[in-house]
Amino acid sequence: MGAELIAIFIVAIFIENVVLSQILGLCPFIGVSSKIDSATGMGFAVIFVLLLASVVTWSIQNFVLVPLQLEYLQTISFILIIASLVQFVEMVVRKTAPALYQSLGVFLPLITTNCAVLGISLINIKRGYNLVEAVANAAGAGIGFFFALLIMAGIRERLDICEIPESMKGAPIAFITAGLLATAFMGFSGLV
Amino acid sequence: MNDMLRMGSFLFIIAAVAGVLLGFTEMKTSPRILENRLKQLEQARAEVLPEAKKFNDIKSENPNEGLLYTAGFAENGDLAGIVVNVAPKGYAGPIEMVLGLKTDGSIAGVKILSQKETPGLGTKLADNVFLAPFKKLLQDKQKPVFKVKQDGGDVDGITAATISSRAFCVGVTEALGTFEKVREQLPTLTAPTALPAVPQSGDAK
Amino acid sequence: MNPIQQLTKGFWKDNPIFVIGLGLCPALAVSSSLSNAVGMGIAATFVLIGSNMMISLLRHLVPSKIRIPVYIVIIATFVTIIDKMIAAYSPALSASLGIFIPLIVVNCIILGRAEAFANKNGVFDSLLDAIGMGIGFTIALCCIAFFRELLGEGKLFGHAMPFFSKDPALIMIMAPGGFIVFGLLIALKRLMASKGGN
Repeated sequence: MGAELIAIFIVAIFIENVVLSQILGLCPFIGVSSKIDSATGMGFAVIFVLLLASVVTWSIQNFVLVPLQLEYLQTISFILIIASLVQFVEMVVRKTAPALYQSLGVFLPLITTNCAVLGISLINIKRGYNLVEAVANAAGAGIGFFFALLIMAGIRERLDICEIPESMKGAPIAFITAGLLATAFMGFSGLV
Repeated sequence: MNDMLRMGSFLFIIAAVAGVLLGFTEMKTSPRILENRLKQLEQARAEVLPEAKKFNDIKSENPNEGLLYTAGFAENGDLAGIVVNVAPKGYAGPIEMVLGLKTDGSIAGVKILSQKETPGLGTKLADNVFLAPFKKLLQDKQKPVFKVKQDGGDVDGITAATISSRAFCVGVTEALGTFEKVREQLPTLTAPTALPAVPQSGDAK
Repeated sequence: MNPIQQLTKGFWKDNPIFVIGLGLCPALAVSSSLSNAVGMGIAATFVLIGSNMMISLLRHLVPSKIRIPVYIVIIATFVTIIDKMIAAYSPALSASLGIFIPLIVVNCIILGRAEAFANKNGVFDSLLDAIGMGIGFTIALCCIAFFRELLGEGKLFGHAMPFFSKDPALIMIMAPGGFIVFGLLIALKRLMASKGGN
C-alpha cells in the first residue's frame, strides 16, 4: 500500500510530468516562466489548487455523480467546482493572509483555465484511484509542474543574455528548450 | 438584493437548461457507447478463441465481483476453451488484455484491447514485433515460463519497454491462474441453447 | 470588416495557435497523428460554433457580473455533447483523444473568443468568427501533425510514406517532438511575417 502510493507520487513527478510528458498546463508554463520569482509563486499556487481540486472533484464524483448516475455531468461540474474553488481560495487568502496574497494572488485567477488542474482531476477518476491515491497523484503532479516551471525559468533567465536569431526569440526558443527538457525527463522512465 | 436574485435565477435557468440538454444527449448516446464496447469485446473474443462459436458468461456467485470468465463452445456444443479479461498495470495505466485459453490450459490467442503505453515503444505489445515471437514461443515450448528474459523467463521483452513487457507477462500469468481456479468446473458447463449470449462488459461497474 | 475577412482572419493572419498563442495544450498533445489532429479540430470547431452563437444570442441578457460562469456552463455543455457523440459514433477517435476532449472546456481559444468577440458582436459575425478560428486551429494542428507523423512514424493519415517509413524518429511523436516542431513552426511563421515586410 505504502510502496504503491510512493510509486504513484514519484511517477507523477518525474515520469509522467504534467507539462513535459502529459503536455498539460502549457499556458502558464510558457507564460510565467520568464522570471524565477513569478515561477515560484505560480508553482506554489498550482500545487495548492491541484491538491484541493483533486480532493473535491474526487468526492463529488464518488459521492454525488456516481450514486445519482449523473456521470455525464462530470465535465461541467468539475470545471464549475474548480472555478468556484479558485475564487474562494482567492477570497480567503486575500482576507486572511495579505502577504501571501501579494505573492500568489495574481496567479490564482489564471489557474482556472490551467488545464493541468482539470486534467489531473479527470485522470484521477479515469484511472480509478481511491482518495489517497488521487491525492498522491495530485501532489506529484503539482510538484512536477513546480519543478518543470522552475527549471524552465532558470534556463530562460540565462537565455535572455544569449544571442539568439531574431525570429527564434521568446516563444520559439522556449518551446525548443522545453523539448530538450522533455527529452531529458524521458530518461526518468523506468525509474519505478 | 434584487440584483442578486436576478443573477441567481439567471444562473439557475442556464444550468437547468444545460442539465436537460446533457441528459437528453446521454439518453441518446449511451446505448450506442455501450454497444460499441460490447462489439469490441465480442470481436476480441472471436479473435482469441477462433474455434468457439457460442459464448456463455460465467459470473461469480458474489455479485460484487462481476464477470469471472467466458466459456466458449464449438459449433457442436463441445467446450472449446475459455476467454479471460485481465488488466495488468502497465507503464502508464492498465493494459486491457483478452486471452483465449484452450481446454488443456494452453493459450489460443492474446489481444490487447486498450493501453496507454509509450507510443512506439510500449505500444509494440499489440504489434507483431512482439506478438509474433510470443506466438512462436507458445508453439515451440511445452511449458514456457511467462516472464521476461531478463527476469529468467522465456518471453522476449521489448527493448526499452521492459515494464510494459513485464505487465504483459503478469497478465498472462493471471489469466492462467484464473484457468487453474476454474479448471474443475469446466466439464460441467454446457453450451447455451439459445442465440449467442450477449457479451457483457468485463469491467466491474 | 466584411464577412469574408471575418471568416478568413483566423486561418493564417490571426491564427489562434501560431499568432495569438491560445489553446496550446491540445495543439501539442494530440498532434502526433493527422487523424487525431483533424478529429480534435472538428470537435473544437463544433464547440466554438455552438458557444460563440449561444453567447452572442444571450449577450444582452446575461448580467455582466456573472458572464464568466455562464460562459463556462455553456461551453461545458457543448463539450459534453461532442464528447458523447464522438464516443458513440467514433470509438477509436474517442480512445485516442482521451481526456483531451473534456479538456476543450479549458481551451483558452473558446473562452477567449467568447469574451473578446461573441460578447460584443452579432450572431452571424460570431458564427463566422467561430468557423474561422476553428478552421485556423485545425490548420495549425494539422501543420504540426504533418511533420510529427511523417518524421515520427513515417506515415501520413496512417499510410506509410516511402523513404520516411524506414527507421522513423520515434521521438517526434512523443512529447519532446511536439515541443520542438511547434517551436520551429512559430519561428518559421515569424520569419515569413518579417520577410513579408510587416
